[in-house]
This record gives sequence, C-alpha cells and structure tokens, in this order.
Amino acid sequence: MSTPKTGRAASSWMRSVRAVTGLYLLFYVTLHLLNLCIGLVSLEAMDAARPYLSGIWTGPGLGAVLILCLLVHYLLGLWSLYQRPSLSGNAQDVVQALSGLVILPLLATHAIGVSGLKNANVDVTYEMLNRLFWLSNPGIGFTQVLLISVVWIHGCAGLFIWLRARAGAAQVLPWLYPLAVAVPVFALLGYTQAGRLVLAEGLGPVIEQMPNADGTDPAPIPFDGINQATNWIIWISIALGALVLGARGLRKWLANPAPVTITTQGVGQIVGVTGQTLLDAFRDQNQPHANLCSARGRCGTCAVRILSSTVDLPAPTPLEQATLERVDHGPGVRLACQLPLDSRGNLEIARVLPPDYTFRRPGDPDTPTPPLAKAAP
Amino acid sequence: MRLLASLLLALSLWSLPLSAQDRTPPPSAPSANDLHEFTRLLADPRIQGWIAQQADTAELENTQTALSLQEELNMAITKTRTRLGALADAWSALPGAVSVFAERWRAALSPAQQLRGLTFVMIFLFVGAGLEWLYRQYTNPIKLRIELYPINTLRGRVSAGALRALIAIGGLVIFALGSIGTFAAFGWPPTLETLVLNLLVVIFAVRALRTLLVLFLSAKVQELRLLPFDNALSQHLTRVILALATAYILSASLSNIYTQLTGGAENNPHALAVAVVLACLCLAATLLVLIRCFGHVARLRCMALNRTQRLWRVYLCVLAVAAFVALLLDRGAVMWTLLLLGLLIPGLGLLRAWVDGAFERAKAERLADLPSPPALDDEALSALTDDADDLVDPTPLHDPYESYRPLAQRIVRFCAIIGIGISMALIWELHIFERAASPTFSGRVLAILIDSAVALLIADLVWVWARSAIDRRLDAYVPPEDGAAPGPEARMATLLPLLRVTLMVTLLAMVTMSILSSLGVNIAPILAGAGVMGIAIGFGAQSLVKDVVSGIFFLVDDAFRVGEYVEIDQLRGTVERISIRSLQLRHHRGAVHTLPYGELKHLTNHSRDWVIMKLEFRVPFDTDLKLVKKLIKQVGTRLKENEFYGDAILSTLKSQGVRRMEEFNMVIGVKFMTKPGEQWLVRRDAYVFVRDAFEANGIRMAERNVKVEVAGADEMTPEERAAVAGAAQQAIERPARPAAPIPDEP
Repeated sequence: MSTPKTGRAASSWMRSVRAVTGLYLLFYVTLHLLNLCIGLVSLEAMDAARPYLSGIWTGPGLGAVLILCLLVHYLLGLWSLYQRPSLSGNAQDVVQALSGLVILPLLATHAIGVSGLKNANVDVTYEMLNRLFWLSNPGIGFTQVLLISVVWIHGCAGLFIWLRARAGAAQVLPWLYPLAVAVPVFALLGYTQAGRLVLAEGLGPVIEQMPNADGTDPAPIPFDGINQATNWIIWISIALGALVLGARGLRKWLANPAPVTITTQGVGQIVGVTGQTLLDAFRDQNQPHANLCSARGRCGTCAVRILSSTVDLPAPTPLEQATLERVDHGPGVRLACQLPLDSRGNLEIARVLPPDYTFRRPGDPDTPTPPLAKAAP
Repeated sequence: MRLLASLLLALSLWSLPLSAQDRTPPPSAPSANDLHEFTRLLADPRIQGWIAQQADTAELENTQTALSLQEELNMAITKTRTRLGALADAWSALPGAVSVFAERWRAALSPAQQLRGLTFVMIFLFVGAGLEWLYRQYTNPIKLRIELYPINTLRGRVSAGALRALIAIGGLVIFALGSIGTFAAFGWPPTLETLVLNLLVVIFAVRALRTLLVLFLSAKVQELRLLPFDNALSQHLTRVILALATAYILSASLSNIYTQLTGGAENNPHALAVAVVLACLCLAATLLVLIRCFGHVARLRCMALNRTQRLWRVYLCVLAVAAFVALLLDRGAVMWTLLLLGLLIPGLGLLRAWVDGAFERAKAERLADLPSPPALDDEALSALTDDADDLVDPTPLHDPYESYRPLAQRIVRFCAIIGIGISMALIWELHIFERAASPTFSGRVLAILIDSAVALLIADLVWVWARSAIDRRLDAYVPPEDGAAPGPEARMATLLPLLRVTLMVTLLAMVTMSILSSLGVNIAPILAGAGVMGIAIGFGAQSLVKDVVSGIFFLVDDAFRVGEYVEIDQLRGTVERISIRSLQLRHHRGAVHTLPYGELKHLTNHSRDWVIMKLEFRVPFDTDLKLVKKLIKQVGTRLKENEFYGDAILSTLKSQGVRRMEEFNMVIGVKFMTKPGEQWLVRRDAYVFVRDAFEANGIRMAERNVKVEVAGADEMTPEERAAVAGAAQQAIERPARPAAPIPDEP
C-alpha cells in the first residue's frame, strides 16, 4: 500500500542504504586485501599488520556492524534483483547480480571458520591460515581465490556504476581504475608468494588453543558446529538466490510478450517485446543508447523524445519525473530505462543524447544540468 | 605502395644479373710456374690426406642428402606400415588407456596438487584479466566512437577497422603478458608447469581466435563487418567457428598433456589411442557442423541450398576427412598442406567478395553523397529527358575507387598466397631463404613451384599496379575539343601506352628468366644471346632507335602537343598525330608532312601561351596623330568586347605611334596580343574596324600620288601633257619591288 510518494521515498531510501553498506563493505575488503599484499614481503609482516588492517574491523564492536552491513546489503540486493525489470543486454548488470548471489556461499567457509576458531580461543594468524589453505585444505584455498575475485568484481562494478552517474566522476574514474586493478592483483600475488613460502617449508598448520583468561583449559574446538553452520548458510543463500531468480523467471513467463515496433529517428527500426523497458529493447537488439547509470533512472542520459506512439505509455513514475525535471530536455521526453513497453504497437522516438555520451563535455550545448549527488526528495 | 613496388622491381632486376655473375670468367691457361707449384702441393702428404678426407665426407653427405624418388617412396611406405602397426597397437590398448592415465595422473599429481594448480591458474587469469580490464577502461571511449558513428568513406572504414583491430589485439597481448608473464615469473615443478601452461595457452588461443572473428565478422556492428554478411548469419558463423576451434585446441592440448604424462614417448600406444580418439571426435564434430551449418545458413538467407553450395559442402567434408587420414598416418606436413591449400580456395573467394563488397559499398555511398541537381529541378529533368542531345553529362558517373579495385584484389590475393607459401615452406622445412637445396625430391619440386609462384605473383602485382596507374591517368585524360589547345597531359596519352607495352615485355622476360632459373636452367647463355641480338638489332636499326629515343625526349621536353601549330625548318602545320617514331603535321592547305623525330633539329611552336601581332597603316603626313591614337583605342575597346574572341585577347589593340616616315606617307604601328590561334580573326576585324573608323573621321589612307613638275608645263599642248604623264607613270612603276610571297598562314 504505497502511494507513489512513499514508494519513491522507500526506493530512494533503500538505494542509499545499499550504497552506504556496500561502500563500507568495500572499504573493509580493500583493507583486508592490502593486508594480503604484504604477503609479498613476508608472512611475519602480514601478521604484524593484521591487527590494524583487519583485526579492529572484525573486533567486538565493529565486527557486529560489519555483519549487519553484510546482511542488509545482501537482502536489499536480493530485493532489487527481483525488482529490476530486465537483466539481459548489459554484461555489467549480469556480472554484478550473479557475483552478488555467489558471494555468500563462497564466503561462508572462511567467515564462519575464522570466527568459530576465534571463539574457541585460537590465535588465527596468516601463517596458520596460509598453511591451511595451501597444504592441508587446498580446496578451501581455491575457494578463497574465487572469493577474492568475485567480491572485488562485485564491489568495483557497484562502485563504478554508482560513481559514473555522478557529474564529477569523469575526472576521478581514470585515477581509480589502476587502483581497482592493483589492489586485487597484488593481493593475489601476495597470497601466491605466501603460498610458495609455506609450500617450500611443507609444514602443515598447527591449530593450538590458548588457555582461557582464568587459566582453565578452553572447551574443544567445535569443528562439527562450524561445519554445520557453514553448510546451513551456504544452502540458505543458494536457496534465496534460486528463489529470486525463479520468481523473476516466473514473472517473465507470465508476461506473455507481444511485439512492439520501435523506430528511432535517423537510426533504424527494431522490434522489442512487451515486458521489456525501452532501454532493454535497445540493448537486446544491439542498438547503442546512452545509459550512464545502467538503468537506475538516475542520470537521465537515456532520455528519448516520443514522436508518436500507439503503445499505452504509463505516466512517469516519481523517480523518472524528478530526473526529467532535473535534466530538463523539454516536453515529450521520457527516460528509456524507466519506460515499460506494456502493449503491442508502434513507437517512434528520437535520441536526445548521442550514444557515447559522457558528462565529460562541459561545452556541449546538450549537456544536461549536472545530476545532483542524490535526487532531491 | 609505389615505393614497395619499385623496391620489388629493383630487387628482381638486381637478382637477375646476380645469377649471371655467379659464373666465373673462363681462366687463362696457367703458367709453367703455377703448374710446378701445384705438383709440389699435390705431393705433400698432408694435402693428400686432407683431400681424401674431404672426398669421403662429401660422398657421405651426398648419400645422406640426395634421395631419389624411389627411395623416398620406399621410406614413405615403410613409415606408413610402421604407423599402421602402431595404430593397431593403440586400438588394442584403447580400453586400458583411461585407467593407465588415471594412474599416471595420480602418480604425477596428487589431488592437493591439482587443486593448487587450479588455484594458480585462477590467480594468473585474474591478473591477466585485471590488466586487460584496466586497458579497456582507457581504450573503450575510442572503441565506442568507432563503433557508434557511421563512417562514410572507404579509407575511413579501413582505418577505423585497423584501429579497432589494434585495440583488440593490444588487449589480448596485455592479457597474455599478465597471465603467462606472471606464470613465467615463478618456478614450477615440471608436470604442473605443463598443465598450467597448457591451460593458459588454450585460453589465450581461444581468445585470440575470438578477436579475429570479431574483427572479420563483427557480429554486432554491421558497418565494421569486413565480410558481406548480415547480423544473424555472422553471429551464427562466429558461434560455430569458435566452438569448433575450441574443440580442436582443447583436443590438441589434451593430447599433448597425455603424451607428456606418459613420459613424452612418441610410440606409447595409450597416448596414441587417446590422440586418435580425440581426432575422431573432432572429425565427427566438423562433419556434423559442416552438414548442419550449410543448411542453417541457407535458411537464414531464406533460400534453398543450390548446387554450388552442395558441392562446397561435399568439398569441405572431403577435405576434413583427407586431413584426418593424413593425421592418422602421422603425416603432419601433408595434413597442413591439405588444410592450407584446401582452405585457400574458398578463402580466396571470400577475400574477393570482401574487397568487392568494400568497393561496392564505397561506390554506393559516393552515389548517395553526390548532390543530384536534375532531381531537384523538375523542369530541368523533363527538359533533359525530352532532349537527349542536351544531356549534360552522358558519361557514367566516374568512380575514383573503381580503378583501384583490381589492384586491391591482387594485393589481398598476393598477401594470402604468399602467407600460405611461406607457411608451407616452413612446414616442409624447405629453407627457401637459405639457397640450400632441399634433400628430398618432392621438396625440390615444391621449392621450384614456390619460387615460380612467387615470381609470377610479384610480376602480376607489379603489372596490375602499373597498368591500373597508367589506365587511371589515361582515363583522366580528356581529348581537347576542336579548336581548343591541348593541355600538357596530352603527351601522357602518347607516352603511357608505350610505357605499358615496355613494362609488359620486361616483366614477361623477367618472369620467364626467373622461372627458368629456378628450374635449374642456366640462363646466362640466354641473357648473353639476347645481348648479342640486342647489339645486332641496335646497329641495324640505328636510325629507328635514334627516332624513338629523340622522340621520347621531345615528348618529355613538352616541345609540341597534338593540335598545336608548329614550324620545323620550312614546314608548317598543325600536329595531327604523334607516334613513337614520327610526327605528322597537317599543313593548313591540307598537305600532311611526316617527320621522323631523328630529323628534327629544332622546332618552333606557334601555339604556346601568347602571340603578338603588329599591323601597320600608312596615312598622309597631315593626319592628326592624336585623333588616330584615340580612334585606335576605341577600336581596341570594341575588339575586346567581342563575344567570340574577346576573352582570347590578352592585351588589346593599341597604337605605337609613328613607326617610320616614308617618301609619301608616315607609318602608324599598332599591336595586340592574343592567345595562340586567335590572332587571325582579331587581325581581320582590326583592319575592318580601323579602316571604318578612319573613314568616318575623315582620315584617308595614304595613296601613292606622284607629282611631276615639268618646267613650262603651262604651255604644253594636250598631246605633250599626255606624253609626260605616260613617262611619269613609267617612272613610278619601274622601281616597284618584285611580288612579295603570300604570307603562309591558315
């Protein structure tokens, strides 16, 4: 029961929360990977830097914040994955969604294992973990490499899509790209180097519990409990992902698509189907069209001018309305990414911006007013 | 391009005399001293020993290297027999192959090691992919610009395609450097190294192939596609080719891994069995894809398979089977030759279609770009269609690219065939660049074939290039209209056909020589014979040669052009025809003079740039000179305003004042300057206008009047008067000059 006003407020709120939690998680991952980079120096250096780069963020207070952020981000991500009209046509979106789905199953072993060991009073050092990953459990080590790759790809995809819709980003992005590659590459190389060191030594991990604060012997390490919890999390997250994808598939199957002929002035004619947005139809048919924020309705670069239409076009949603007012291309303009094709018919449109448009050209007469960091509520 | 061609020409010119120079000149007879020295050296035991040793080794090498055809056949049959035996062994070993490999695999790599290997591969791939992603972030704007904006010129499209290729290949290279480079930076145990490197190479090869496919088929961007296919077809082809090639590469890699696992022995029946099974799978996949793909393509193009396409399908299937058999018999070189030559034929067709498509598209775009004024103006259009004679431009549209088409096709074909030739030479280990004979008979035949083909191709390329360049110049030459002076390019119309014939003869001679030479025929006598013949003919046809050579220099000097009015010694006339030996002048009265160039010492050209003509008028001494000047100026203005020749007057009629005084009158000089050939008309009118103007203003032209003063004339009788007048008349007429020749002018 949401009026457009509250619906829009809710979606805007959810987007902000998702962005903030995502940024916090990415910050933590970056520090963690920087710690791995130190493996290029030595195992001891990795452990020496550990308290500052990852220890305090997973400590008693901030650790809870981290887990909360992860859960919130994951659930909001699932919801937005369900909400998004179409995934097809944009590799970046597909990569981001799918990598988001597999992070939790990959992460469970590492996160639950380390926290379980810590709870059992084990001093979890990089030296021990490297021996574990490279010598006694190479399967888990392999998962770690996958995890690093997937997490980093997911985080960077989100960060760059989020940044690209902002006006000032064009100057910042070229400097961020090398960092975005350097951090995981050096982290992986650090991990490799550490692995080579422990492989050369050939000694397996030694897991030893420290005595409790009061001097009594600690309870034995609950390996079974850890394994069970890990399995539960893996299966639940897989089930949730499957549920969302299944729901999407069901929705698409029920939509019963009909053809919509779309003529773009001066470009050509394509045939889309109902159930897609206009932008999805463009992407499906390989007709290039500007969309800096990847169909989030934020940047306004996918605007089209409707010349004639026999399709029922729904009124702009408040989000679209706000973006349209901000970029101000005049009457008869809609956002292709927010314009669902609801019924069969013909649609004739004209591009407003060239397909390779970026915010970089200040002198361009077509430049819309720079989008604000956040659509004004 | 021209540079390259001239370089090739120079090289081939240079290589001809080189082979002639190899022959040393016949030595003069040795002196007695030399002979003594020689016998002394021969008697030396060390020298004898050395010579004997050399002779032995030479004999040995001879038996090793030179194989007759029969020996070769024998060897081939033996090898095939051995191979068939090995295949039979492999067949019996096939059931056990899997378990043998599982065992070896476990012995070589524990599960932990396998996982670790996989981990390393993941890390290296991530490094490579990350670097490539970084590269793409910076090159994407350029790539987007190329892909999104339609390019209208052929040159633009070619350079855009090249830039796109460069970007794609750059990405691939960075990926390879990142992944394989990091791998190489660490040391590995050998089995792991084989495994990881194989995997990386497979991934790299498949990606490289994909890049090539994107460049040629460009599944998404119609404008950049090099081949004339539509979107659906090129997407389908991309998928099919990529899948097939991946299967081949994976099979080769797997087979390689198995061979390495079994200790690298060539004849291990298990490894052979696996290789054969993989090859069978590949063959089956190829045949299936070929049979299905043709049907699918025909369906995409909405037509039934025609006869030619069926034949192509059968041809490709047969080719695949033949290559498979060659592989089975361990004839790698034969297999590659079959594949290369077999794919060359359809490949050449495709390349031809590609060049044609590019030119057609450029032509169509040029047509579309040209403004069409008749279509805009309906009246003009109807007028044009009504009056066929009035068509403004009856020639078909001149396409600037058209004359390059044969050249482009030759170049593409040349590159393809040369590429194939070089790969064949590499496959057969012919060492064509090292001037060393191949040990086998078939190798020698192949080397001769490659040599001849290269000579033919280069000559063909040079010939097509020169011919199209000459034809282009000749096409651009517009013969002058009647009465108009021909431009400087007219002499090109004379020289270029000559050049073309000379070039053709030269190329033919050179190709024949080089083929003969590669066949082993000694061409030095032919060259020498040709030289002697040349000298003989040169003496006999001395004056002919003189004519031709001096003619070329006259033409190069631009001394005359067709249609010009020239004077040579006593002969005048319009140049009517320029041939290679002589020139023909048409006298303005119709006579035709033929002059060999050798006879021309000097030549006066009356049709160059401008002509000054001077006229004279005789007026009595009492004429008002100022009035005359004014009148002449008026006439000059009037002449200049004439609609027919006014433009040809460079400097109009003007008075030069009194040129000289004569006995009974003074001479007024006037002059004017016109373009050559126009002066006669202007002079005619100038005389008429000046006479009319003088008459209208009361200026009389001076006439010869003789005043005879006779003393005491008053008292003369009429008879005496008549007699005196008669005597005076005689006196006037006597000094009259002999008749002047009629000026020679048209």
